[in-house]
Amino acid sequence: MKNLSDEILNKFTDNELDQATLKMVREQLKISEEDRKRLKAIQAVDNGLRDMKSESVSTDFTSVLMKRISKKSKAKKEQQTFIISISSIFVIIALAIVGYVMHLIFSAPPSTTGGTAMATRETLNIMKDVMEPVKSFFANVNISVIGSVFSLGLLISIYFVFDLVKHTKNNLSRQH
Amino acid sequence: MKNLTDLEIIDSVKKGNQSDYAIIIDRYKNRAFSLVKRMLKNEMDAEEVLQDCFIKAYDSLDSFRQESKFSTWFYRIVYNTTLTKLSGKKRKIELEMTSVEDHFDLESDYDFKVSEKKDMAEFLNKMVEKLPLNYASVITMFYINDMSCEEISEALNTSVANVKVLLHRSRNALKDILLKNNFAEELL
Repeated sequence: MKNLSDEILNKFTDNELDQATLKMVREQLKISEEDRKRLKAIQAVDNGLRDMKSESVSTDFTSVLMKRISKKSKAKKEQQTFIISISSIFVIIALAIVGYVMHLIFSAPPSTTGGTAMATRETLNIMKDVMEPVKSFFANVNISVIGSVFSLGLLISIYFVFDLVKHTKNNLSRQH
Repeated sequence: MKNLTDLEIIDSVKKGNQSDYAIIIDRYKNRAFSLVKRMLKNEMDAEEVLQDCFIKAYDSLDSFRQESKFSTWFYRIVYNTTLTKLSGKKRKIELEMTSVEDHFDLESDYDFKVSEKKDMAEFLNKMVEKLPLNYASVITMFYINDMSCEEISEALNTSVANVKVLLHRSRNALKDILLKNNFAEELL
């Protein structure tokens, strides 16, 4: 009679055989010492593997990891705050411009004569009115103030970029 | 606090109790370490990669939809992160070559020592470390991490049948070593 396959012996060990096959395997095991030996070896492997213990990480693993997580969360919050601040400034500027334009539109005297040409002329006048203060805002002394503000913003951005690069480098060096 | 389930702890972490994540770390660090170490075959790298796995899991907690057990979800992160690390180390070719269809021979590079007979678990532990990556992963998940074949298949993104094939082939390879070295008579 042919020997039992490793597949059957594994399924026997895992109790995955149906009743008919189980009966056949038991009969075969009674008469074949070779199969009994192979089954015992598989069962020894199975039992031995169940006795294996998990490996242990270093004792300060959790505390080191929690510090990393905490630091990362803090940096993430700071970045979020920075992005929100910058976005808020831009939104406020945009709102101010829109508000000013609306103010000019609503405060302009109503036109007595209709027509597209009149409406276009009025729009151009309003645009001219809007551009005048913008032009004067960027002129002379104001330009240096604006430059300083942008420089400050640029410096802050550079700081965050360098910080990010430093973190990335650290992470990469830790990985290698 | 330590008697809480994984899901209860995760809910607490999501609510802002960051320190509770330490309980999850303590709960899984050693078992996950066993898996990473066997995959990387390097203890120092294993701790670093495991830290990255925990951080990745922490950052992704919001995407954990509780459709599977936390452990299954977490081990999937561990497995995939370790694979990425391996591919980064140009071991991808080795990994790709070790598919389910491949055969391997443990005996060829096994240096048998009589003293190892005293400790079956230690002997098997050493042998598992020599198994190809996906075989070692399945053995570790099944026997050390107490995962079912279904959970392993979910974590490895493969079929249950594949997992069983890997499990049986690993046991067969180890069985052949035992038989060759007459371990069975001594231990049974």
